[in-house]
Amino acid sequence: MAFTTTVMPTSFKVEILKGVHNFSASSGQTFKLALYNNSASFTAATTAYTTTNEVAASGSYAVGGGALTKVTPTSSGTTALTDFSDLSFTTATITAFGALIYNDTATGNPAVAVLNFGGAKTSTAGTFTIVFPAATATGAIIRIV
Amino acid sequence: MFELSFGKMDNPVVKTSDFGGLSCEDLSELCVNKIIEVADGAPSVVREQAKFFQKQVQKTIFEYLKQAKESERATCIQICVQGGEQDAANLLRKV
Repeated sequence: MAFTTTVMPTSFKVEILKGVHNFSASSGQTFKLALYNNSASFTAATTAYTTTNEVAASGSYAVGGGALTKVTPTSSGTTALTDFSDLSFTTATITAFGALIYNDTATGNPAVAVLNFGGAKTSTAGTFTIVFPAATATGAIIRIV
Repeated sequence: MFELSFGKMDNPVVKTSDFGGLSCEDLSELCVNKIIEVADGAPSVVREQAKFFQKQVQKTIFEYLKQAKESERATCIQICVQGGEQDAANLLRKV
């Protein structure tokens, strides 16, 4: 039981085709990022947000995680992409091994992405920042190529 | 007939700090990485030039972040002084 991979859930791919998710910055849905301890075992088969193994509330981190600031979907060359701004939790004592991005607006809080931090990341009464890649055709967190 | 594929997702970068916020060094590094991306596959001469430029931009961002922090702290100290909170103002001066 541990984070082993950074992966896009298969259910998300299906939901993209069903039009479940809207990433538009102004008119889109609310997406959140929740942090988890090393007992979480998310895979491509993960379908939705869960409170099981989520880290405890601390500082500005509340159960359910933090809302993400979206980058409106766009294209670069023949690649479509969307991204998020970096997300910080302040005055927080947290140890997390990974995170789940999920749609907080859609029914059932469907999963969008499983993020593996590659090990324990800890803040003690400090800032815990998840850095998203630049919104480019080769770097953006969600790209359809 | 048509095949859509999703780009490979890399492990995200996480920055943390203890007993306070991120340093100006950390923030300037995060900032410059958003502004200037150096492709791994670029020719070595181009990559070296880009990395040099990246360092110069980071230095500039770092200096202005430091000034922004000092400026904000000075504003907070004045708010404390005007509110009669001398002890809080003195604590902030020690930061």
